[in-house]
Amino acid sequence: MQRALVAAVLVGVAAPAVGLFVVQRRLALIGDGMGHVALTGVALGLLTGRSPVVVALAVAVLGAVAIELVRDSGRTSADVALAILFYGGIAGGVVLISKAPGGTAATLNAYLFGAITTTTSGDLVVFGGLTAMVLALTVGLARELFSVSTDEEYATASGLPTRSLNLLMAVLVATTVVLSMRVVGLLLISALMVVPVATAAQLARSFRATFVGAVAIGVAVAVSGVVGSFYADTPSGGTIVLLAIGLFTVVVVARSLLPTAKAAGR
Amino acid sequence: MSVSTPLVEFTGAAVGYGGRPVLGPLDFVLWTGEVVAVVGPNGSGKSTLVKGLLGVAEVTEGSVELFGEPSGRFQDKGRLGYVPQRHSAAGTIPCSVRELVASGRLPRQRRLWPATAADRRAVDRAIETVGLAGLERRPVARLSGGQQRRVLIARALAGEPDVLVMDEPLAGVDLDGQAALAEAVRALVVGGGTLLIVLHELGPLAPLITRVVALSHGMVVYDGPPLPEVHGAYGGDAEHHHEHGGVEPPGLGLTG
Repeated sequence: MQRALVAAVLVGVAAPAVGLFVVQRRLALIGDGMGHVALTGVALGLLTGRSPVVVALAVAVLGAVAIELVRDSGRTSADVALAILFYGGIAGGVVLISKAPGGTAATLNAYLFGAITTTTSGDLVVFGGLTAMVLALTVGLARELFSVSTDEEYATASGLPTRSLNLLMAVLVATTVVLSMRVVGLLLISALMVVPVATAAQLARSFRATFVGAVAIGVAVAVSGVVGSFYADTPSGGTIVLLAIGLFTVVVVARSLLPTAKAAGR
Repeated sequence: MSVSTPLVEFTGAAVGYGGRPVLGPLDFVLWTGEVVAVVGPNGSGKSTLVKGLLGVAEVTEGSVELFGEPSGRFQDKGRLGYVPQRHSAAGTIPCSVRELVASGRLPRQRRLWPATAADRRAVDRAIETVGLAGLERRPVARLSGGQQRRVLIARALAGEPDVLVMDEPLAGVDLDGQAALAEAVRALVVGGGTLLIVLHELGPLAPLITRVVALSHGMVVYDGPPLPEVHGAYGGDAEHHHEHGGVEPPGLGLTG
């Protein structure tokens, strides 16, 4: 349970930190696609007897770079190329896992929907390191990432290395996806990257405030989701995401019912 | 750098996207202290000229030089300020006026180093120059169209550029907003800046313009002072069009 909570905090911090820039770039579903690709990585890891997390990370990063290069090329066939990548990822993962030693439907479920209670201390060390890296980069390069994700053309004109920054963001998404795999599962990762950010955006008046709010909300729903799922005997991933969406709904409804707050320029 | 070095020089340059030229080949020079209006009908290549200058579109032929250096090798992008044509300055995530303007200071800041007092002052000055002092913490999405346009100008100014490049700064802005924008641009001109402004019509900026470059189908058809005939063709004054009925925008026969 303690390990599960630590994992929840790490994911609750990393996912919104990266999700903020993903949402700003209007690529909210990219985490979803990345999760699909990561499944093949997991399967390869199980097949080859290597750590599924490490192999998933390698495959997800490669997939992220491929997705970014396809997006950057600006070709109209990009969405088809992406669809092939995403569905190939899931299909590849499903097929390969069935062939892997110990690869059962239960294993597949664990990766698709999360199995937070199986987190080992070794996993936590890796997760801790990845979260620290994600946080260091999103905070350290916040100004550059803000510029590129807000107005890419302007960022290029002002001399920023836009392509490298976009690739970096893709790698950060891949890292966060693999990080979150155990807690929320590959199918719901996007939700943890996007929903806390959307909730914070309802309340904040600046980018910085949205960042802080999104991380706070991410940690809050991740932790309460894990605790709640423990007592209610529900899957942690689904519970966390339902809590996140529930909070978002409450905030939206509250805002619409408080016209005076709106008129005052919130 | 000698006084006679052009700030921007296009030599037989063609500019386009995906390897296909949309503009040129043409020659164009920008000198210090000029306020140049680039005019022409839709599709004439006005925005492409600007994007070629800024390195956002490809130079498919010839050369573009910035401050005497080939544009591909030019590093000091802070010397160019860019105000793009944007329907709205706000993004999906809220951001304050100060945050958006501060992103224009980046080319002058050290990587991975916190903002210095000089950086903060430059951002403050930029916000003041466009007349938005006091609105630093307002979310950009809550500003009017004209105010958002001024935030984008402030963003370009935060880098203290030598040349300010603006793409249709008045487009889609109501008359009051246009007046405020024209005032902000006037302050820049009076302060001794070099400006290159893409315009659909000269409108309220007409008194500030020192030179007009007219484009048609990707080629320069006029490059010279803002004479009354040119003014009439692009001044945006309907009555003028009637009076100078014989003057058509392309082929004014005044090239040179």
